[in-house]
Amino acid sequence: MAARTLSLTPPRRRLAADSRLALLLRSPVALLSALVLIFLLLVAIIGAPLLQDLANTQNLRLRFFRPFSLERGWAYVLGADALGRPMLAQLIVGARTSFLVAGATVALAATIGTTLGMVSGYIGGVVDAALMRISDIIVTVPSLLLALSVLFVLEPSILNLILVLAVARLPIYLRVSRAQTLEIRERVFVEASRALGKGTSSILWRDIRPLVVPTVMTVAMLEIASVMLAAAGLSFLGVGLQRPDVDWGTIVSEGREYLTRAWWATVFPGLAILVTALAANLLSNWMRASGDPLQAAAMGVTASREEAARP
Amino acid sequence: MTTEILKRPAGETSARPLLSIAGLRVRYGRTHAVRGIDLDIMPGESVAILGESGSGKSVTGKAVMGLINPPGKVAGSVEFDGMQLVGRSEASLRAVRGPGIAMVFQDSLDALNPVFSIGSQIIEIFTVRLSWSGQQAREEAIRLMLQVGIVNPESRLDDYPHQFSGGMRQRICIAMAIALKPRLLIADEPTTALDVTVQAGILKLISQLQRDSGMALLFVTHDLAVARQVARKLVVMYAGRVVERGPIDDVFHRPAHPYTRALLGSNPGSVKHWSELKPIAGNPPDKSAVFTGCAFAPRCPRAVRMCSEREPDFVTVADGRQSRCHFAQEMFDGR
Repeated sequence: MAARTLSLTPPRRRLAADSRLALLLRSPVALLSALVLIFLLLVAIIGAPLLQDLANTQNLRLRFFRPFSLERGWAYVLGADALGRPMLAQLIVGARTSFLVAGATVALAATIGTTLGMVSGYIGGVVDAALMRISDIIVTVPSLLLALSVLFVLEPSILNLILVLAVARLPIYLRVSRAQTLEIRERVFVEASRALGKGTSSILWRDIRPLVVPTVMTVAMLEIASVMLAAAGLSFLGVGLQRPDVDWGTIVSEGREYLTRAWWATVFPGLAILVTALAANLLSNWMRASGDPLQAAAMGVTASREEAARP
Repeated sequence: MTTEILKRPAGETSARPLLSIAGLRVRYGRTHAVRGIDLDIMPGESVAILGESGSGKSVTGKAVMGLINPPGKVAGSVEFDGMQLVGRSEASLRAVRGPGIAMVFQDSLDALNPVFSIGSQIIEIFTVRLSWSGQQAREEAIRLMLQVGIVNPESRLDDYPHQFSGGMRQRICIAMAIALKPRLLIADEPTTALDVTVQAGILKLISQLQRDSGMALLFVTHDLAVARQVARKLVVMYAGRVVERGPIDDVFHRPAHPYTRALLGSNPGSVKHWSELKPIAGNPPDKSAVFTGCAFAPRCPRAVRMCSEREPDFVTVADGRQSRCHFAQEMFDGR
């Protein structure tokens, strides 16, 4: 019955890039999130090199200059901090570092953590036990302490900061992807792949990865905000980024001291982190849904066929 | 292996069995799923394993494929075309899986990866296993889909599993299983999850594919009527052991084991009115139990004291007919 109905509908297009874009245009929340992220990225890439000097220009007469006034020029529109540095310029310069550190950390931790988690969950046995104990150890040591001690030995640089944070954040991905793999491993299509003589690497890549990645993506997007704040914590303790390098987290922790006198020194960089994390999250949610053929169908593009095919 | 050949009676050497299971045991800790079964399948032969849930029939199928995951332990011998499969590594089993033995699973709804189109899943078999080009694989995929009765295969290649009905999905699973032209197809209750109306079509397809390609078939089911439609030979399992074996129609008409007879009596198709149905009293035995006598004795209407004290041998009651019962001959003779 289903077959007859279906044969009447025109040959379908694949759920490829063009229809994915069409789906994005239909979802206002996802579209807005994508635009916000693109805007922030462009600002970071283009604006940061131009404003590097301005962001670090101190002007003690403009100490705690109040926001929303243009009399000192647009750079001071969001006010100035305790040393009279313009907030807007700092935010723009900080965006680049924040994106770089958070993006690279999350990407590195997610890639390595997910790969290890999938292998650990699928192969099991000694490999699994060893990896999970290592992960337990990392979790047991407070990540800040771990990062602190490593950065104390190594010299604090952006690269070292990324490496240390990535190691500290690895267990989350390892555990999430392992748990997912354990579940997917038991599903019939994995057994069917084995019964067709497919190898372990082929099964991991084709059968398990596509179902693990969406979950990991959602976790990774949540992690962006945590990593930005963790980086700030390290800067605060003197082993993270140091001026003239600045990121949003650093600005938040510097402004915290003067919270009662100048709320804007904390709120604006905090808002920047919030907006980025929120946009990344909403977008990743949408990506997860649109990457799943069933949900993508429910989202619109293949709705009519979907209805027809339902047994 | 030499001893195996020597053990075989002279009359059978003319055709060597394609699959030869001897003393196969599968256990999970103290749970015994399969307690030692022997079974030969000749090339092109169709055999049904019949048993209720928990009798070890599905586990037997998986054990043949080497799909028993730890902590499950497999002992005994499974020889496919002279090659011992038990104890072989996953990597070396890969050569057998697909072109040697293939499998169709019970849960067709979950047997396809939900995030890839069914076309890409069929095509992948050829590109990964045979290193074919995409175009060649695509053409073969279309041919296969047509062969298993998918209408308009070209237009359905890019559809995802959720866009197919249960029966269609099972057809695709069958297409994938026969893609590498296996010499033995294991079908593990392939119609159990399907509507009765769809079942018949799937059974017909499997029978037809089996006849056309000359592959052997091991059909696992709990449904006697289904078994009769696809298989010539019947193996009845109870509590992880084979209790009766023989040509299917023969067993159907003259069961030589009380369990088989009870199964026939509890089959709704065998009676005119439901009140004539005779359910088998009691429950299947605990899988961790250790038997001193016959496993069926507690539920058996014919059981005497001897039954719970001494395990019956697998006795031959007629040519090609065997039964594991102290009263096998009497049962067979209709007494």
